[in-house]
Amino acid sequence: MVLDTSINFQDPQAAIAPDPDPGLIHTVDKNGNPFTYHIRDLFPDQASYDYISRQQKAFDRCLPELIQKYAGKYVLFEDGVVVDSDEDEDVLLDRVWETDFINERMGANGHGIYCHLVPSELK
Amino acid sequence: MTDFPYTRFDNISPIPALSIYLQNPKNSLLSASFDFAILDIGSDITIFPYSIISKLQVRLTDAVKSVTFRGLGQKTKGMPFRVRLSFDREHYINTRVIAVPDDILGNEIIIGRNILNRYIITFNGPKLVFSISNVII
Repeated sequence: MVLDTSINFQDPQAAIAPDPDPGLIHTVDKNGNPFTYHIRDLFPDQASYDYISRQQKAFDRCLPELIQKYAGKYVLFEDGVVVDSDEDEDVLLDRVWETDFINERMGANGHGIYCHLVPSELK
Repeated sequence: MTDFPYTRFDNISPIPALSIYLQNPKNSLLSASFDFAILDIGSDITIFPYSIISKLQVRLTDAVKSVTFRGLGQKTKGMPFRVRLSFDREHYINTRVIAVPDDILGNEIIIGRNILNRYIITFNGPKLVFSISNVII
């Protein structure tokens, strides 16, 4: 008799399917039919996707310190540094719009920016 | 003030909608217009079909945003971009819009309160006319 050892019945985790791709979004289209797309489809290019994903992770890591200083404000954030902040996002971006920082990132070859509202508390 | 007529359809109430004019805020040569933008004071954000964003070649300004619209709790996710927008081709503002797939939104744009709250807008329902101030707040 040959035992099949490829399945470990002792480990309950082995029976759980891997997490689905969090970028996949299941919704309905304009006609009410099921519709699935990937959030990556709404990015101009791979560089933008990589940049925003990296900033989101960095922002989440820095959140306790950001809340202490900037709760309720929008921050223009990059790699752990707050470039500027304001209670109004449009006011903030208008203020920095003509700077080299913005020109590099929002120009034809730019990857975008990360301007995000700092919550008042950790979830 | 500039006056605009409501848009009439056969089987639904007239809608306060208008044409809008768009530019890439870093390159005004990249422009577009859209004929059916609905003024929706029930929406706190402005929602665009992604094809318009792609045409303007604008850049992202933030991470993924959750979007609820159509008044029935339809939920999806979109990406925020910055565009230059005008109702009259004279007075432009830079503002945030959320892009979602064209299949979801159809041939419409939702203009939400992040833009509407910058203007003085008067709805005259009985006359099927609305007016928008040229004053940008």
